[in-house]
Amino acid sequence: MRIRTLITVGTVIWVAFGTAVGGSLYITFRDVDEALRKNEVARDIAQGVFELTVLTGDYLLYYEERAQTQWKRKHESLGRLLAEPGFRGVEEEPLITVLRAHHVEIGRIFGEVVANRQTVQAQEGPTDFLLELQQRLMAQLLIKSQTMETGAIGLGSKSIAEVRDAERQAGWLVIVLGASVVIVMAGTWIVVATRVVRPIGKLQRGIQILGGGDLDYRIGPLGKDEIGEVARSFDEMAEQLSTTTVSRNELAKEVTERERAEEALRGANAELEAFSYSVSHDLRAPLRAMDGFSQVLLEDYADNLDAEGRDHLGRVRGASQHMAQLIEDLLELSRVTRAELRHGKSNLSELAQAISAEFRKAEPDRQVTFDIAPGVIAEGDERLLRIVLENLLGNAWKFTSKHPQGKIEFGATTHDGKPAYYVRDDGAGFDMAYADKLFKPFQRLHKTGEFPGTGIGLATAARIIQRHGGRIWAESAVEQGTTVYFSLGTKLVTKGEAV
Amino acid sequence: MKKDGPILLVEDNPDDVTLTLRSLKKANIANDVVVMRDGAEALDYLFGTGAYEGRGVAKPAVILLDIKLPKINGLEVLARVRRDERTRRLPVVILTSSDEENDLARSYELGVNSYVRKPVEFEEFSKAVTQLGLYWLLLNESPPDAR
Repeated sequence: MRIRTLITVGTVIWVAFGTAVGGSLYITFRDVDEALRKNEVARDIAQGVFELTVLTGDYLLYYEERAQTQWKRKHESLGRLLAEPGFRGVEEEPLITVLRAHHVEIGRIFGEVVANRQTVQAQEGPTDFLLELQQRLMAQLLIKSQTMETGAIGLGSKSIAEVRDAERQAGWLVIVLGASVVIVMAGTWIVVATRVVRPIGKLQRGIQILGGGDLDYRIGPLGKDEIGEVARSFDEMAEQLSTTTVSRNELAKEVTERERAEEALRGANAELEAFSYSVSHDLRAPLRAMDGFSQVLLEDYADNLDAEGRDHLGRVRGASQHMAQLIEDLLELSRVTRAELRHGKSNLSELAQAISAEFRKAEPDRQVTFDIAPGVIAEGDERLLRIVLENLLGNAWKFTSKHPQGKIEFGATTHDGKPAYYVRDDGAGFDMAYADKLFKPFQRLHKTGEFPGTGIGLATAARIIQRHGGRIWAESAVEQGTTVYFSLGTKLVTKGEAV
Repeated sequence: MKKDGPILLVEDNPDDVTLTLRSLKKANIANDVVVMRDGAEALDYLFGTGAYEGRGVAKPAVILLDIKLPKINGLEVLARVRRDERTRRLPVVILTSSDEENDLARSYELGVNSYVRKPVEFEEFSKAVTQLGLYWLLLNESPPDAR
């Protein structure tokens, strides 16, 4: 049964019980009260009878008018008392009836005595007969008075007995009721203890165990009532907590792993910086020696060398210069990967203009037209975006070098609804079949003899675009020019993976 | 006016030494060239200590200083030169392979007069050395007490 129902039932029981207790107590004490009242009346009656007897004696003494009046008055009030309803008990009623009869009788006798007295007083002749009558009447009166007294006393003791009975009854009732109250209270306490207190104790223990850290503890079913529901909810909560803690622990583990990975990455980056530093110094010096001494040979021993010899030395020089360029490009790629991205707005059009001007200055004889769209603004790291444009425009410049005239364009467009930028040339182009190699380092689609290069420029540009969260791709056909597109994402990738 | 002091070349790489000397000769720079192979030696020479005890403080017309040197590196040498009153004003040109930002910044912080990257290509290198020599020895005015 649900606790609420129990409480309702319990309340009903207690109310009923209380009503019963109250009711019976009320009835009982009303009975006692009644008995006491009747007893009072009985006492009054006895008192009245007694006083009447005294007055009878008074009157009979001197036959005074005053005594007579008093007797009559007392008789009247006694009559009123006797008329009192309420003596309805099985034992009392006959007594009262008898008393009433006596009362009437004594009144009649007294009347006769008074009348006789008057007759005696009025009589002038012999009054012996009347005096004898008087004596007889007096005797009757006295006897009747006594009888009445006895009767009144009897009534009195009867009503006292009744009072005692009533009181005893009341006493027993109180004991019984007291015992019942104790029993009902005990019953209530037992119910509360078993249905409420103990389950709550279990709940409390469960909460403590759970709070102490044992997330696998379950209380189990605790009945179908409200407390049982609490226990169920508790178990559900413990289940949730358990899973959440498990996932939280896993998350914590992931975080530590992530932190360790970051630490490792920082270490790797630091190593890379040291490596680059080393490369700066140590790789370039031998190259300089190679190039230098080849040149010295060419200068000092020109006479001892034939064309082939000079050619060989030329190749040595070429190789070391190529390697120097590779080192430069690799260092740049590494720097680009490691650099801290600086967010900002760049005017790509201005950058393109500046870069194209530099190319023109370096090779003023080339016939190339630049079509640079104005006002192209992009968000990203300006230095790195410059490197992208240097690479793309540099490629465009390089691959149009075999044609007498070239056209290089730069502008903005949209791709998939998002902004994109492009560099287009009408130069050598490449076979789209090899397009997937385009942005990989060291992969070249032209022979070095055709066009110089290290194969790292586009890889560097691609790395920069990748760090900007964007995409880079190209479209081309052999001898029909190339367009390289790139987009920039909205989220910039922070210090990234090693080169 | 041509300076008479020697050129102090502080360089540990023998190849670079040879190529530098050759370039200087080709530029018709007649000054003596004193070559020190490590930072410690260079400082001994400059301050007249160690192996150069007793020869007094040297006053080269210009110091061509590499950064990567054994024992004491170029930046430390530069720092010591700038710290001492007697050598504070000597022209120092750092001539190095490094184009690392840190080296560049640090050098200027320490008060270098010039920072030149050694090109890998010999012709460029030669040109650079020639220009350096002509500038520092002919064009540039030395500090007063160096003459």
